[in-house]
Amino acid sequence: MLVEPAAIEVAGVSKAFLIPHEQRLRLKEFFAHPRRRTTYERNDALKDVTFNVARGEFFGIIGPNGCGKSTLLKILARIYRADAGFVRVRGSLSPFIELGVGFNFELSARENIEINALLLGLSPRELEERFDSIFAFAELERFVDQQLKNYSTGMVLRLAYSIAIQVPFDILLLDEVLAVGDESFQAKCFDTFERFRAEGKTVVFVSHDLHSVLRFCDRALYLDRGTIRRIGEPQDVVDAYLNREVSAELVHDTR
Amino acid sequence: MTETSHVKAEYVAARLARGERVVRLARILRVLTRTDFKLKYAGSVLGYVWSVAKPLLYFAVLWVVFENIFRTTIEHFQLYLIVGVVIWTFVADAVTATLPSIVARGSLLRRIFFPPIVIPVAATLTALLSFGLNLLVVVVFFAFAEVGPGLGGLVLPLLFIELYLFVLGLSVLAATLYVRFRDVGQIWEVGATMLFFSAPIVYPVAVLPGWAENAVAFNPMVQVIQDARRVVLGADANAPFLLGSYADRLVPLGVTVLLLAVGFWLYDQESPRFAEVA
Repeated sequence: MLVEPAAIEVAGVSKAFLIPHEQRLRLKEFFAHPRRRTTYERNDALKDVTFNVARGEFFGIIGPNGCGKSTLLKILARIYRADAGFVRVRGSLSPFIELGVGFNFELSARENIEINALLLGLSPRELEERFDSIFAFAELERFVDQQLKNYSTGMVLRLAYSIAIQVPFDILLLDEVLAVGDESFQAKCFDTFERFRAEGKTVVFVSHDLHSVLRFCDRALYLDRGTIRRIGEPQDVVDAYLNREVSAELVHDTR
Repeated sequence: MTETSHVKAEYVAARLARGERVVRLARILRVLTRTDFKLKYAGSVLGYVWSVAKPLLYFAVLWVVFENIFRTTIEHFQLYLIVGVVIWTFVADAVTATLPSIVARGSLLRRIFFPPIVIPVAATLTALLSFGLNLLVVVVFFAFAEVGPGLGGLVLPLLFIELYLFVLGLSVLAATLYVRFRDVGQIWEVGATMLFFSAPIVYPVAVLPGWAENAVAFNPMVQVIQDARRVVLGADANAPFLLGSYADRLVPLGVTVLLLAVGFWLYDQESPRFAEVA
């Protein structure tokens, strides 16, 4: 029997952020009180998280704000380093994190696309081949040489999504892609989701839009305060998430 | 605390061959340098002209003050001064531009994984580009004065490589520290002024008292300025070598190597957390 290796393996991953009680960015404090230890607020963003994502799987991650979803995506994308645990990613990865890629709003859309394409691993020739379709998909052909500061939020989002999906990838990380766009953009995103499924791409999909999670995901994960509460069938996971919220509200009401 | 410390991450396809990695980094550097250069003059009417005009104006001010008010006796004072000013401008501009560069590109670091070192290196290369343009102006100055370096001019590229390495070490160190300690910005403002007045840019090194001469001999910028003047002007040729002829070069070279080592070591320590802090 041949078992295909998972696209993403995450084992025992933990990540904590130490937030100093006093901002200790100044040297003065460092020298004035060298022996006083700054006290930290320890925020365990992820605690011993273990899961796999199979190749070609559409994998949803849901959970309340601040539950560690974005931290998890950033660890998968190598942007953050885990404190403990093991991460293995098989295949090339395209990230769409914090509403897109790293844009500089003083530069034109063309230059921003050039920088981001290079950082995402495209060669100049590959970029040239894709350049027109990036702007065509975003429906921004008329604004190629405009500075990004003149773009609306929706336009920036469209451009960011467009570049993220034009990079050749095996694994796509999508963080809240549906949060800002209008309906026509959402419809466009849904079309691309169907295409990725058909092409057998692996997609990790973080969203608060539970309907989309139910519609597209093969499996889902419910994250709460850095730990996995439920993993498996999307319907089951979404139910667990919703029930937890309801019960929390009930407790609140009966008090 | 978590007891397990077996942090291990593998990104199978992300591992490129060494050659490919170098090509990719070079491409990123080129584009970042170009856009940095563009951003620096974005919104100004004269644009790139400023990269040449600024040191020239600076030169003009210093020339008026020291030629007419202090009545300097240095031979070929305009040439003597322009060499110092152009080299000084490169050092000051490079460090000033690189210092906040990692923090300024934080939005990129939080969204895409790439080696952050390209950010400060691109910023220093941007300054190097302006330095190149300024050198052309210096050549014009010398052509008008009909003064030339002769064969000794072949040493100049070596001096500029040394100067760039010094600037790179200082810039990477400053930019890395700045991510944690924003004070570095204030310290550098004062430091830049100290660097200017402690170096023989407007005055000959011989006017310094003995202890100060020994102190500035540690500064690689001073060595490069003095050696450049010796080569192209024969100026200060009779000025005593600061620490004796060999130590005169070895000490600032050692300082350069030390700065590079400390800068890149600290960068290695700090860079995994840039995305969290910057």
